[in-house]
Parts: sequence; structure tokens; C-alpha cells
Amino acid sequence: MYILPEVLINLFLDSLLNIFLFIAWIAGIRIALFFDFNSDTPYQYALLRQSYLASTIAKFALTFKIFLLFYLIYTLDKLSNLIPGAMCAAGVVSANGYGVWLLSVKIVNIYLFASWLALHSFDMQRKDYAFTKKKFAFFVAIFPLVVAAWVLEFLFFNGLDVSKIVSCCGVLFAPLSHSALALVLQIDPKIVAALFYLLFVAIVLSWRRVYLFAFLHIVFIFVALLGIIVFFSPYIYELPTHRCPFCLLQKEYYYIGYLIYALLFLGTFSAIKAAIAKALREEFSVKMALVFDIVFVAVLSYYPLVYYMKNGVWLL
Amino acid sequence: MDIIVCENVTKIYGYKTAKEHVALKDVNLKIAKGSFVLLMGPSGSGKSTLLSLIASLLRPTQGRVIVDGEVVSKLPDRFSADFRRQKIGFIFQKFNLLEDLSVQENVLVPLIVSDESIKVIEEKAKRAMQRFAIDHKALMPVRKLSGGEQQRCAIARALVNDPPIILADEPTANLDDALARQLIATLDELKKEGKTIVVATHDPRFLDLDVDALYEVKEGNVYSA
Repeated sequence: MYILPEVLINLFLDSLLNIFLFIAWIAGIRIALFFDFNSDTPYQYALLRQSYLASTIAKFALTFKIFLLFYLIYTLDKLSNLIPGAMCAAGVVSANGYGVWLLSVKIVNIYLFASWLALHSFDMQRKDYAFTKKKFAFFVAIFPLVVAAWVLEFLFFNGLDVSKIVSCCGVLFAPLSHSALALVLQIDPKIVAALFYLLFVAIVLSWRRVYLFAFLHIVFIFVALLGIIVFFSPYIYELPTHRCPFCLLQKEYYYIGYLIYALLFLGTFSAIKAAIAKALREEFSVKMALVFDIVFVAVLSYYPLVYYMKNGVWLL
Repeated sequence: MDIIVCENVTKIYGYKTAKEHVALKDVNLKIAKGSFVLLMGPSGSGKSTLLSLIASLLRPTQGRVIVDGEVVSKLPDRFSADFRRQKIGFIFQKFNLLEDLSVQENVLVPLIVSDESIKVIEEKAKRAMQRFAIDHKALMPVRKLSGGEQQRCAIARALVNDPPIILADEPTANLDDALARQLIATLDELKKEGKTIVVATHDPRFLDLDVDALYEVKEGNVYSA
């Protein structure tokens, strides 16, 4: 294991937060099973107090973990300086068998954490604890994924080998490589771009139908990532052959990747929150999602447009 | 119509610890809207605890407290302050004023989170201070006031929001005889205005009033007297 300060911070913070989340999880099991608003017993009052404590712990720990994902990506990027062959986080992620799993579980987790936070915020608006049981049942259900991400993080950092040469992003995201992504990367960039913008238009047009709006956003997560790799990244790097979703997180590109991924997360999550609100018969406007979507698409579209205006050609 | 209902309310401090102390035992109580109710009993009998439960300052260990149709014993903390601001005027034995603030600032405290304009808020505070004859000391820090003036300031603060329920915990304990009688008269006047008054006291001067209900609180039990 590399004892880089960033690695230690990741492991330490994740472990610390998980200890608190474990305490909340124990209380969460009791609340999910036995909470009954109509009961006036001492046990119910104890559960009321515990629900406040466990909710507070979960709220702060899960919120922190969302930000911690961005710090993990920063750490992976930093590690690329030490691992032979790696030019960015992509090479580090592929350095052992746990990297892709770690990143995948972490990305799924931030959507689950944000969904829990949405449920919690709706519960906090109610005097009758209407969603308390539901939110703790959900929390109990997602906690194994918290542990899974934690275990994967240890295995990943522990399994990094400085003597092993890894592939750089130029190889990993090359359409002709033998990587699992190769098939997807062979899709014509024009088709990917058309799919990206058509889906965006479909999202904007579907804003009145909240469930469809949220569903299209979930599809949009994958299409947007594909769009970034296949269509937009060559314009960001101003290199027709360079397709990487990680290099744009680097200083050379003004850390623009953090803004792009944050906007993608905020837009897609706001749409999911609107669907959760509708399912719970609560209020949450889709406007927030639309604003993030529009800014996200505008930021990404800026690169090909500026490139075309400067050079008069498209990188297709 | 009952504005305050206590159903099987038990309050145990330090529940399930070595320092467990039973303050109230299985209390059932109904207080009608617009009535004047006295809770009488010695110190430590549970009177203050009962008032604190009604004001949602404490949660019971068991049972429920309903105030104006709302189960306040389970009210989440983030709603309790709003509930008290709208429904309860609490007069404390030791006034609980912010000593470094002026009379006007103290009276304004419950209105800080109000949605009303500053002009309306100041007008309300002015009226409350005038009513309890403390407006001439509006800008004076509370610590420079006499006991009686502090009590009037505390009453003005409790009533500035025009709450339907007034809870008073030993309100005459720190007052001389004249001021105490003045306060009792004020509470009686408020009752005539339709407010529900609940006073926890062991001051026999309250017995001179024509109260609607008198309860004796003894060792955590509440008896109708």
C-alpha cells in the first residue's frame, strides 16, 4: 500500500464515517422494525430520540461521503504520478482488479446516499414522522454497499503495485484496444453526439411528466459519460485521438472535469429527487434539475464550438 | 372544548439509570379552553415538569400531551419553537430575561423569527410594553430594573405574540405582596380576555380568585382538589 497522505485521508475518513454510520445502522434497524408513531410507550420515545441522533449522523456522514468521492478521484489522479504507465486516474483505476468495482460502487452509492438525503429532507418537513420508518429501512438496506465500498477501497489501495506497469488512458480508451470499453468506443462520435443532444431535448420536453423525466435522467448518466469519452473529450484536450474521462480532472485542463461531473450529478440527482417527492406526495420542483442540465450541456458544448470557431473543423 | 389534554403522562428523569427520579406518574388531565387552572403543591412535586411538558420544553417518558389538537409530546424539536411562539406564553419564576439586552429587545425576542414586517413587530412590542407599564424603560438594560419591573418585562415578552395559552411557573415567588397581587390581577384580566391560564404555584393568594379548576400535585400525582 502507498502511504500517501491522500490515501491515508481517504481511508481514515471513510473508516471514521463508517464507524458512525454503523452506530446509526444499529439504531436504524430498531427504528425500521419497531417505530410506531401512535405508540406512547417509553420505548417509542426512546426510538424518537434515537431517530433524531441516527438521522443526524447519517445526514452528515452521507453528505460528507458524496464529497469524499471527488476527493477519491483526486487521490487516484495524484497516484498516477507514482504508478508506472499511468497518466491519469484511469491508469490507476485499472492497476488492479478492484479499481473499476470500487469506482462503480462509489458512484452507485452517491446516488443512493443522495436519495436517502432527499427522503430525509422530506421527513424533516413533517411533524408526524411520516417517512421515518421508510428512510431507516432504506438506510439499513444501503449500508452493506457502504461496507462494500470500504472493503473495496482497502483492497484496492492495498493491491497497488509500484513495480507493475499499467496501461495509460490512451490505451484504455482507444477504440482499437482489447479493453471491455472498446466495443462502445467504436460507436461513431456523430451518433453519440446526436444521442446526447436528442436525449437532452427529450429531458427538457418531459419536465411535466416527473417519472419519465427521472427515468430519462438515469439513462442520461450513461449517455453523458459516453458522450464525454467519445465526443466531447477530444475537444477538451484538443487532441483527436485522446478520449479519456479522467484527464479532464487535471490541472492542465483547469480541473474542468470536477465541474462537469458535479453538474451531471446535481442535474440527474435533482430529477431523481423530484420523482421521490412525487412518490411521497411531497413538493420538489424539476426546475433545479433543468438548470443543472442546461449548465452541464452548455459547459460541454462550449468546447466543440470554440474548437470549431478557432480551427474551422470538427474532430469526428 | 379541551385545549390541553394529558393522557397517562409519566416523566422519569434519568430513566433506566441509577439516578432515576419519577417526576410525574400516569397523569391524566384536561384543561378547557379559556379556563384558569391552578396547579398547587410543594416544591419538587412535579408542577414545573408538567408545565414544561405542556410547553413542549420536555418530552414525557410515556403517554401523550395534546395542545390545541396537536400531539406536542412527539413534536420534532424543529417544530417546537414555532409551536411555543404561536401558542404559549411562558412566565418563569426567575424571569429568564436576557440581562444585557434592553427591555424592548427582550420583548422583541419571540418576534425575531416572525414573518411580519419590522414596523408591525415594533408596534406589537410597544403595545405589550405599554400594557404592562414598562414602556418608559424600553431602552434600559434589564439588569438595571427592579424585580417588579423585570417581572412586567417578562410578562410583556410572554404575551407579545398574543398566545392563547399562558403558563406561569411560580410567578409570584420573587415579588413582594403588592406586586404579587398586581400580577394575580393581571392574570385574572387575561383570563377574562379568553386566554387559557395555567399557574403552577404554592402561593395561597391565588385561591382568592374564582378559578375554574384547582389541582393538587403531590409526589408526581395530580389530584383534582
